[in-house]
Order: sequence, then structure tokens, then C-alpha cells
Amino acid sequence: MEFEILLPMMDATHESLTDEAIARQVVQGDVDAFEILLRRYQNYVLKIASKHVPPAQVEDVTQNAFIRAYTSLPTFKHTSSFKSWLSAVAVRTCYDFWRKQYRLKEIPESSLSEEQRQWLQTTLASDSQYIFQHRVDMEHARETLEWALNRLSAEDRMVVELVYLEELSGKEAAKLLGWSVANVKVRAFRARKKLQKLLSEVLDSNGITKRS
Amino acid sequence: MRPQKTPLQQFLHILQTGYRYAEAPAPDIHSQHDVMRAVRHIGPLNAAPNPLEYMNQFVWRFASAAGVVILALSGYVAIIGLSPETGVVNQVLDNPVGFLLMQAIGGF
Repeated sequence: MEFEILLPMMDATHESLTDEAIARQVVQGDVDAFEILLRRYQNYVLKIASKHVPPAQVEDVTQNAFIRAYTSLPTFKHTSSFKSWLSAVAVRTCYDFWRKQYRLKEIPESSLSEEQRQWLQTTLASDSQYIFQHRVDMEHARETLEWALNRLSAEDRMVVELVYLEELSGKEAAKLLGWSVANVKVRAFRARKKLQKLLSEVLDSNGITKRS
Repeated sequence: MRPQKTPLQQFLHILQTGYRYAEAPAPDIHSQHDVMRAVRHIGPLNAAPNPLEYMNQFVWRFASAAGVVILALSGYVAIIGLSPETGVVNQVLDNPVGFLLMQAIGGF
């Protein structure tokens, strides 16, 4: 009973603290303080995960990212903000998710559905500026993206997402993934080539000729 | 006037749009509870580390160096062979007094 009364008071004390101060408390053994960081950044990590993993896996990956953040907290050096450190943990958790999926060969090998092909043809044929006003268009775009990314390796997939889709710099992507900048640049170049080849094949198979 | 995009560029644009469309689910209180349960199960981070776990980390840290040493020694043995040791043993067995004398005056 007494504990239940004390808990909100403890939360109020923690709420006024900076992330870095709370992280320090957690490292010193205050397990409950981690809940404050969890509440502060759950939305943020959910957003990161939703960009990199399928919708059905977002929650699991987010949970794993927080558990990983907790166990890795002693390695947080306070040289960057907690938020950017946590985003790197989240991105690496997404990367590990894909590595596991590829290892278990749980990546669907299906080709584009007839509906997707038709949608793609219509969208490409119209010379509009592709204003996706309808939810269904967005969903088709997302499905087509998933289809294309499923044909890349886990490494290429992460690099394409971070460098070309999220438009991060090589340095930023390298920091998130924990790779060298040179590695990111080389992989990004190769991954882009692979993606372009893949998309060109789709265009050719759908009879959409290349315009110069 | 902007140049018209090629179908490939349009396709890439569609994929980018799809990427930006990703919707994050709403934060779930049950999910928070699951994380905190797992975190409490792990325990405080300042707890004394399990010595076995610590040793495991320590040993693996030197794995690559140990591998290089093993390879170097294997190469050395492959080139030189084990004959020097065999030669010393033979000398001890053949002439133990002479061997000890040589050792004492610094012959070996």
C-alpha cells in the first residue's frame, strides 16, 4: 500500500531529471527509473521500428530495442545525447531482426501481385507528380517497397533505407549501424545498383520502356 | 521546366513515398509492462557480475590473438619440426653426465 503511494512521488522526482541523469541512475542499480526513459521514448522507437520492420513485428522489435538499451546502458558514454544513442540501438535491433529473418529464410519470395502490377503501371503511366492522396495508394507503395527490399540482403536493405529512403548522410548511417563510413558508402553504392537493376527488370517485364 | 522523370526515377519515388507512409502503432501500456518485466528479470545493472560470464567475455576478447599465435606456432613447427627437442632428449639419454656438465658451464 505504502509502496503504491510512494511510486507516483518517485516518478515525479524522476520526470524532472534529464535523460542522462536517469540513465546514470539506472546504471547505478535503479531499475524502476528505466520506466521513465521507456515512457519518454516509446513513441520515438516505435516510429524508427515501423520504418524498418513489417507492421506485425514493430511492437516486438521495439520491446527488444528497449531491453537491449537497458543491458547496453553501461556502454552509454554520455558523449552524445541519450536519444541519438537510443536511435542507434533501435536501428541495430532492426538490423538484427532482418539478419535473423534472412538466416531463418523467412523472407517471402513471392513476386508482385497482379493488383500491384496494375497499380504500378497506372501510377507510372500517369505523368502526375504522384500525389498519393488515397490510403490504398500509400499501402500499395509500401507493399511494393517491401517487395523490393525483400530481394536485398539485410545489410543492403538497411543501407538503402537509411541512405536513400531516409536520406541520411553516410556518416549518420555509419553511426547508427556501427559501421565505418567507407563501408556504408561502398555498400550503399552497390545496394543502389542492385535495387536499380531489380526495378529495371520489373519495368521491363511490365512492358514499361525506359524514357531518356 | 523540370525534366521529366524516367520510369526508374518514378519507381524510386514511389518506394520513397511508401517508406514515408509507414505508420507507427500507438504506444501500448501492455508493451511497457512487458519491457519492464523483462528488465526486472535481468536485474540491476550494478549487481556483481557472474564470474563465469566475466571470464567468458575475457577469454573471447583474446580469441583472435590466440588464433594468430596458434597459426604462427603451427607454421613454425611445420618449418622447423620437433627435432630440437628430440635432439636434447637424445643427448640426455645418451650422455647424462656430459649433458649436465655442459649445462653447468653454459653449453646450452
